[in-house]
Parts: sequence; structure tokens; C-alpha cells
Amino acid sequence: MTQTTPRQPAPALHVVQVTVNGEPRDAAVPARTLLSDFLRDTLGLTGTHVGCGHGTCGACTVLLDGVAVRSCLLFAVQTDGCSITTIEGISPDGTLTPVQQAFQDNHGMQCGFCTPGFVCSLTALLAEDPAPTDQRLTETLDGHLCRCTGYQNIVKAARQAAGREALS
Amino acid sequence: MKPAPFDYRRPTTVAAALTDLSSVAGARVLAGGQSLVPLLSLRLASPPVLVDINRVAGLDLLTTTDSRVHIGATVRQATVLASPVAARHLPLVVAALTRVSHPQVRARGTVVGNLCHHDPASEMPAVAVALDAEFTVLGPDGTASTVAAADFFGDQFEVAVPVGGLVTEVSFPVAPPGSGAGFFEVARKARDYALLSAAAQLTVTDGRISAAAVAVTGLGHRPLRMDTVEDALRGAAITADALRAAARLATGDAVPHVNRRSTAAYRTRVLPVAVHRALRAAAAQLEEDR
Amino acid sequence: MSTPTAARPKYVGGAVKRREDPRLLLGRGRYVADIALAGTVHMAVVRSPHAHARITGIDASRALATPGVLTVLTWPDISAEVGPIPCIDAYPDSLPALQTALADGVVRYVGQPVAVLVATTEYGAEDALALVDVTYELLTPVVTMDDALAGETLLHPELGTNVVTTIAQDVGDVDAAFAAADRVYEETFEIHRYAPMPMETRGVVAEVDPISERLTLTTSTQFPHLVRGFLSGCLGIPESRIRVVAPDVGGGFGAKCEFYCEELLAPLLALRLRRPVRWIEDRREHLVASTHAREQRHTVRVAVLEDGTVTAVDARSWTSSGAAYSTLTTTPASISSAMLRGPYRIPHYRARAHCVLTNKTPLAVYRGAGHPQAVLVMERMMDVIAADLGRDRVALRLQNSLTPAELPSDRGTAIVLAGPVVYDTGDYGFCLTRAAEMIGLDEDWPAQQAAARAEGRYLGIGLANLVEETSIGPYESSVVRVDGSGAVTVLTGSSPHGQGHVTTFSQLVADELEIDIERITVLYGDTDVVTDGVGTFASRSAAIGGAAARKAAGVVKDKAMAVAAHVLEIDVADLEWRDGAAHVRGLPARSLSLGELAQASTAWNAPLPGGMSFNLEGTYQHQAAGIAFSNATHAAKLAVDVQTGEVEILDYVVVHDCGTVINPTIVEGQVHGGVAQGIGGTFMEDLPYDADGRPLARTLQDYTTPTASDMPWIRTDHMESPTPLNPYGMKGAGEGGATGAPGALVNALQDALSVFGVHLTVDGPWTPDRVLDLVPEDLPWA
Repeated sequence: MTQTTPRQPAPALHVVQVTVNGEPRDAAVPARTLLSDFLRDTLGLTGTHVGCGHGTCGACTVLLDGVAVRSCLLFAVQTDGCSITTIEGISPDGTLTPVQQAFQDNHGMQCGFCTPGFVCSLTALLAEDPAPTDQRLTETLDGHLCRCTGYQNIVKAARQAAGREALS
Repeated sequence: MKPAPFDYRRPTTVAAALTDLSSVAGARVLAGGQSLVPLLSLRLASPPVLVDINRVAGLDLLTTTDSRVHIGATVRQATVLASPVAARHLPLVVAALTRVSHPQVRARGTVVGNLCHHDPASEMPAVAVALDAEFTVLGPDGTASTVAAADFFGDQFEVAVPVGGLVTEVSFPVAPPGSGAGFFEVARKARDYALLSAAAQLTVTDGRISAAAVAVTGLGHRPLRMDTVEDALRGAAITADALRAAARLATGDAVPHVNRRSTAAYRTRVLPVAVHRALRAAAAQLEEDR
Repeated sequence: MSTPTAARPKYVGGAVKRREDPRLLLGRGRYVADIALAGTVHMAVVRSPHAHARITGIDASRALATPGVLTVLTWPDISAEVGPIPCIDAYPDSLPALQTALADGVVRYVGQPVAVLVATTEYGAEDALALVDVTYELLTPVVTMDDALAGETLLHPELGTNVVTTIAQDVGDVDAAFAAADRVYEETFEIHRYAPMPMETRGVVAEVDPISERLTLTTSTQFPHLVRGFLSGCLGIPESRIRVVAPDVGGGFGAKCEFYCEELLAPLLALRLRRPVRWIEDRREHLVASTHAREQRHTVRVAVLEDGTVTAVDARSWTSSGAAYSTLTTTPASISSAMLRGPYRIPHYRARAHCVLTNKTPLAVYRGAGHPQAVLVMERMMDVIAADLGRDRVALRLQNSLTPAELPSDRGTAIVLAGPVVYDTGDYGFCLTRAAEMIGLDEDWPAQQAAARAEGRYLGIGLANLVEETSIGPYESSVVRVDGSGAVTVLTGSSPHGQGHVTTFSQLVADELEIDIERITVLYGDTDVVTDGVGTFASRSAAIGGAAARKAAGVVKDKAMAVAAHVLEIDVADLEWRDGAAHVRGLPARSLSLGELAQASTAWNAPLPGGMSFNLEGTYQHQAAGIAFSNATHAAKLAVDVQTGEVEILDYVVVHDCGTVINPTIVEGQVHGGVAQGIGGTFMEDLPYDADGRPLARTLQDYTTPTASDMPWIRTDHMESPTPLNPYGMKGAGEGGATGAPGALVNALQDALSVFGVHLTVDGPWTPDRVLDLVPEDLPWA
């Protein structure tokens, strides 16, 4: 005998209209959909990575109205009407931006999993403050975990991107 | 690691927010969400309703009136840090906020939300208690009351906000002329959760300390004002000896399991050290300003 | 007359920028969680909340009644179909304690899979976890090493003991050496439990390929070919019916050098449901469901002559292996016991290394495997002996170090899966002397320390020498293929997770064929594309996989020359290979390029000379002739804040030797990353358990890893002692950073606080509270 169960009411869907990497996008999702999942699963922008899911590692960092934020700590529905830039939109034409180039030049990455978060944070910082102090650079980098590089080459990359002299 | 389902409300007025908060038992406010969302994703909390106050008109204001700076419930920590008003009038708030998490979190996290979360290891409750911050708390019926920081913080993760109520702002007194602020914390690593934090603000008039505000967090379940330290400082000249002697008077009962990151014995031992470092930082800022 | 052409610059040895970076920087990587197949359903795992308990009932009816939940499986549902999770490094006399994919009636660690369910959405699958009702009867947990060794509670009563493997190493006459010793030192060291913690957790997508009807498993692994074999063995499906793909892998460090329950469960479910099944481990799961590492206890006795000659070591170790064997269980204990003596002569040596079951997550390899523990123990002992004898730390080490003239040196020990320990090449004394000089450990150092102490700053310098097993076999294979445009494809069985194989393997092949690096494509990680391979672990990729690739390129070059001789109708001896083309000697204008030769090799432009196969392609299987041993000296300088217990690392030096360097930038990156992990383990990372066997670190807030501000600026110096074990001289570089750091850092902490009479026998984590416990309470404030 087939057991029939009462269907639970479908969760309420919320329409989210956002501009992502310059393109208008909209979708209806449950309220609990994290922004990171919305970008990755609903919109297919998988360049944003989820390393911890609880706001510690910074891999999921994106730009929300130009400001670097953790996309695992926001619900998609909260961003309705906002503009979002993901790693896929950092370089609109597919050539490396100075921040991205600095990572390649300095070997500031190995497995590449945390890298989009670092690139997004530094891009936001340098857009707001092209000549940041050491303290601002460091506290921006400290918002991200990397397990491969030991950070030294990321620091080099960040300093190159910020136009600072190289450390030796 | 995904949140359980919830109903989402996004009111645009305070009145509507209060209605939403009263609509279902267990409804919770979503402001910056930087502490709340991890709890939801870890399913350590699963409120039936989230009331997103980010679009409530009037809560995003940072204003100065009556020698106090008022910080609305949705004002981001980053906004305060970038504000010239805060830089001029709230040096201790600024000193502590730079130690709250990371820029990417402060971009969304709110000052009020951070205080209402009342993590016992959090930095800002020490500042609130030291400076006699005041919270504007609305009851479910909209009745406003002003709650002093000393009465606001309960046991860890508890604050004096009635069920269905809402904190609309926190205010801090403008630092008097001749004030210096210092904040010190010990942690396992750079910008990690603090093991123990100390906040200090010293005001000097005619070469002597006319006002001292000192508090710590991380020792017990709530922020602790260091009255004996303040008493010892009041009227003293700012000398290395005076600061050291006053700091040595810092005492308090460390709660063993306030966090797993350090022992109670450790926190008891570093208490005077942390207070001393905060006082020295405050004195250094005074020196710089001269 | 031919014009002399400048020698083509070599890629090998050059700081070539990584070719894999642009796509990763543009967000175009593809990790397992990025794969979205139509019709995918989502797996979630019900895990044990208890360290040790008997399952008395599992009721899945509430979950099954929930819309969107497709199935729930427990052990009885699958036990007839799946074999246990294999262990490949068991010794012949190891007692069997294999894990089953779902608990077989008893749970033995928090996080152990108890049931598995599938739902139509990822969120829905997680919702359903709470609807599977499991009841337990609690058993006594075995948490500490002492609990386990006491043997009052046994994890597997049928074995009669919790000690499941004992490894023996015997060299020389230890008892006679102790009888003849002037001094004997004995210490017990505790090394705590921490973990690789890659930024990408594990994850799998399994499906039955609709075209070939073969099982396809995409998994975040370091060794897809071995996973194919394990899966075949566990499911009883021929390897030829299985395809395993490792896509971009977000770090491994040993955590993904394992075959896990989920890599068996998802394929099983895909076969049953005939839908793609996806599971992405979350971080809370990772902390209990992916292997842990390091935890060992060592008791060592050391025999020393009055002149400082260390004559013998008698060592015992116990590894807290967790609740069951993992794929690589005995390797840490095996390496620690085989390598304890490091660079030191110590002619007489005995070790007994025990693998001990505890109710914790299975323990396996992590960058360096058993080396970091061995280095910590030996290097602490060298400082203890130096202090007792009043000898200079560097001089005592130099006195006991093997010299280049003494190499190769058969050490008389052996490492499981790898073989006999025979040090090949290296100049251990040079690295030590250079590191000591760079860090500033000279005769003025004690005076500097005293002066700093007077100002309240407690400075310390620590040294650690290491020799490490790298480049283990058995082999790696490679295929090199040239198409008609002259573009070259390199297939390697070594599947990377951040090591930069695309770049380094291109460098090797480009030099062999004398072509531009941009013409080379490197493929890996898919068992259908690269049918044979071993994997990326044990610092083996460059020396074994790289050698295979370069050799395969050589095979292609030889064939190209033969084809050229055939086409040009001259003797191959009259040809020379230069700049990616076969040139007629003395007639430089007369040449055939690689592309032209590839075209000439096809069936359409043939015939080729007798018996030669069509197409320009070469295969080579490089078999390891032995273990290549890299070495290094680490030197750390730190300052202790004796009021707060906080430690600041002021300077860090690594002088290392990994043979011929393919790409110095990549090697330095490996060193930096390893040192960071050593710093993490020494000062902050920890996987503590409470008395009930419950893990206390459940998120990355609890399990803290270093950030940029925690890192010193690491200064490296290289020396190159090529190994004769492969034609190109390369050794491994992946693990030395993590291997040397704990020993150097703990020795530095000891040096800083020795004025207080401390005697450090614990590796860490040296959190501020633990450091402050070493400082007298009545110390005056600075």
C-alpha cells in the first residue's frame, strides 16, 4: 500500500530583483535562501565559494552596492533592489584587473578556493581608498582565511595592487 | 549548514515592526545579521519569524544632540568608524569597534545589534558600560523607555528588552575636551574573539584626571565596570605609576566557562594587565592630542 | 655555414608565473560543489552525537513521510552490498578494525555516519536529518591515550585490545650503547590533535552516466585513481565500469588522501535512485567527519657520551588513531618511528610505535604525516642535551649530523608503503649553519636576550633540523601527445590541489621538447582521460609525476626524430633536435617542426617505417627507485609577552634543499604554507574532546587557523642537492614547511622562557593562557 501523506504547504517565495555584475536578474526564492546559495545555485555564479557557511572564512565575499560583505551572512531576500558584484564581474572583459594580476604576479594563490574572496575584498577597498594604510590593508586581509599560501604572497599581491613598495 | 524555514517580514515603519514582532512568539529582529545568521545556519536558533528592520525609516541615523551621539538600530559599525562625528566625539567607541570582527562583517553589522546580541566576549558592551550608554527600548505597544547600560546587560546573550520589543538606538555621551580613550584585548590570534577586553577613557582637567571610565568584558557573563580603578584614578596626575597602581586594583570574579578559549585563572590574572594597557593607550592618546 | 643561435632559455629553475591562475582569478574554477547536473538530488548524513554507544533503534518514518524525502538508508539496508572502508597501510600483523560506511550497530565517534537520506533539495535534506529518530544505549567512551591503554573499555572487544598495530624498527645494539653511555636522558612528549582543514570541505557528485551506464563519481580528492579502485572493491563493480573525476580541489593537505564513507554512499544511492546524488560536506561536519591528525605520545631515552656524541635512541610512541582504521592509518606512526633520528648519525636505534583506538574521529595523514612529531621530539632532545652538557646548540647538532661524505646512508629503518630509509643526498650541516647565521644565533645572542629581558621582552630562538621522506612510489604515469598544429597535451596521473602541476609539468615538457610553454595543455584528475595514475601526496608529484612527464616527452621526441629521418630519408644520426624541431645537421634551413612531424605521423600521411605506430604520442611510467629525502633547517625567533602570554613571531628562516628546483616561486609558496600550518598547530589549532568524548571544536570560530597578521615574514634560502633517483634530480617540497615549524617554534618558546626553569614537553597549542602558566605570578610588571 502506498502511504499518502498530506502535502505540506509550499514555503512562501519572495521575489528578489537584483543587478548582478551589471545585469538585472530576478528569481523567487524561499526567505531562508542565503545570498551565497542564491548566487551559486539560483543564478549559476559558482565563482563565489563557501568555505565555512558561518561567516568566518571570507571565501564567499562579494560586493553589495560596492562594499565587501560575506554572502553567507545575508539572505537573498534582503538584497532585493541592490547591486551585487561577484568574482565573475570583477573583470567585465575577462582580462585580469590590477588586483587579479597582482595575485598571479606574486603567486598569491595555490588551490584558488579562497582567492575570489580576497580579490573581491581588495577590489572594494582599493575602489574606496586607492592608497590604503598598512593597517587597512592588513585588516582587510585578516577578514579572510587561506590555508595554502601562508599569506606572505597574498600580502605581496595586496601591496602591489595598492601601489606600495615590496617587502623583502 | 542551512537555516530552518522562517517567515520573513520587512516592515518600513517602527509601528509595523512592532506589530510583526508581536505577531508570533519567538519572532526575532534581523538587523545586520552578522551574529544571528550563523546561529540560524548552525540551527542553534530557529525563530518562526524574522523581522528585517533594515528598511524601517529613521533607524539608520547617526545624530548628535544634547552632548550625546545617537546611533540608530540599523547604523552599521563601518558607518560609525568612518564618521567624523564618531572620530571627534566617541574615541572609545571607535577604538573598540576597530577590534570588532573584520571590515567585511562591520560593513553589515550594526552597533546596536552587536550590543543586543551580548556575547560575553564581545568588545562593545565594555564601552557601553564604561561610558554609561543609554538604550531606547520600545515595548510591544510602542512605549519608549530609556535603559542605562548598567541595567541593560543581563546574563550572557540576554538584554533588557521585553518580548516583542525593539531597541531603536543607543546613545553615548560626547567625550569631554581633554579626553583620551584606550582599548585593549588579549586574543589567541590577530582579530580573533577576545579572551578579555578592557575599555578606558580618561579626561584630564588642569593636569589631573577629572573623569575615568573603565570597564571590561570577558571576565564573567556581563560587562564589569571597574569602580575601584576609576576611584583611584580620579584626581590623580597622569603618571606611569598612577596608572599602574590603579590598574592593580582591578578585581572581579572570573566565570570559569564563559568561553572555552581560556581559563578563569588566566582571565583573572590578565585583568589588571589588560586594564593597565587600556589606561596606557588612553594616556598615549591624550599625549598625542596635546 | 650555420649561424650560431643563442641557447634557448630553460623553463626549469625559472620563476614561471602559474598558468592555472587566470581562470581561477576570474571565478572560472570548477570545484565539486559547482557541478549542477539536471535532476540532482541531495544526500545528507545522520551522524552519531555520541562517542561510544550501541544503536538500539532507528525510526525513519517521520523523515520518509516528509515531502521531498526520497529515501533513508541504514546499515542493514546496505550491508549486503558494500564492503568496509579499506585501509592500505596496515601491517601484516595489524588487528582488523575497519569502518563500515554506516555504523554497524555501534557508534564509535561523534560524527560517525549512522544513516543516510536523500531529498530533492539541499535545504530539505538538512531539514529531514532531525526527523530520523535514533535511540542509543551509551557505552563508556575511551577518550584519552591512558583510557585506551588501560584497556578497561575496548572499542572492538573481539580484538582483546585497543592497540591494533605495533611497528618495530631495530638498528644496531641499543642495549650495549646505553650500557656504554655517559649520560642518559628520558622524556615523554605529548603532541596534540589538529587537522589539515582545507578551505574547501569535501564533496561528491555521483551519477550513472546515461550513455555508458557506468558509475561516475566526482569527488574532491587527492587521488582519483585510487578512489576508483576502492570504490570498485567496496561495491564489487569492475574498475572499468567506474569513472572518478577530481575537479578543481580546494586544498587537501592529506585530508583528501582518504577514501571516505560518503564516497561510497553517494554512488550506492545514485545506482539505486538512478539520479545524480550530490553531497557537500559542511564545515561542522568536516570537523568531525574528515580525518584528524598528529596526536601522539612519545617516550624517548637517549644515550650520550660526554663529548656530545649521541649514540642511541630507544623510542616508544602511541598514536591516538581514533575509532577505526582510515585509508592511511599507520603511516604517521610508521614515519615517526622510521624518521625520528632526522639528520643525526645515532648508530643504535630502537622504536616501537603503537596505533591505539580511541573514541575519536579516525586519525590519518596531514602534511608531513609523522615527520613533524618526530622532528619536535628529536630537536627538543638536542636542546635538552646541549643545555645539560653546556654545549652550543648548533655545534652539538653539527657534531652529530651526517656529512655529505657519509651519504648515501642506509638508516636501517623502513616506512610503510614507501620502503627502506636510505638517505640519498643533502648537506645537513650547511643548512643548519646558514639558518643559524640568518636568524642571528651567534655568541652575542644570550647577551641580547638578557638585555631585552631587562626591558621586559622575553626573546627566544629555536632551531629544528629535518630530513623528510618525499617522492614515494610506486610509480606515476604520463602520456604526451602532439597534434598537427604542434600543440602538446600532457596527461598525468598525479592530480593536483593547488600545487601548480599545470605550470611545473609544462616547464619540464617544454624544456624537453624545446618549445614555448603556451603550446602545452596539462590534463589530470579524470580516470577516463588519464587511465592510470597514483595521486598527489607524500611530496611526490614533481619527482615522480614530473619525471614521468618529462620522460614521456623524451619518448615523443625520439619518435619525432625517427619520423623525421624517415620523411627526410636520412639517418637519424644526421639529425639534431633544437627549438622544437628536427634539424639536419649542417643544413639548418632543412628542418621539420613538431607539428609537421605530428602530421607526418598520422595514418593519412604514412606509411611509417616498419612497425611504427601512427600518431606522435609517447607514454612513460616512471617507477621510483627509492625514496628521495629532502632536508631543511627551520629557525624561529619570537617574543613572549610575559604579562599576557601572547607570542609574537619576529623572524622565521627556512634553509631547505629539495634537490633540483623546477620553479622556485612555487617551492617557496609550499614552504610558506607549510610553516603557516605549523604555526597554527603550535599556537592555536586544537581539536579537544571533553570527558564524554564530545569534540569541542565544531566551527572555524572554535578551530582557529592563522590569518595574515599572525604570520612572520618568512625568509628562505635554497640549496640544491639533486637526487640520483630520477634523471632530473628533483625531490619533494610539499611538506617540509609543516614538518620543521613545530620543533623550531617550541624550541624558541623554551629558549625565551628557560630563565623561569620551564621544560617544554608539549607541542601546543601554546595559547596565551598556557604560555602564561609558564611565567611566575610574582614577576614584576615592566
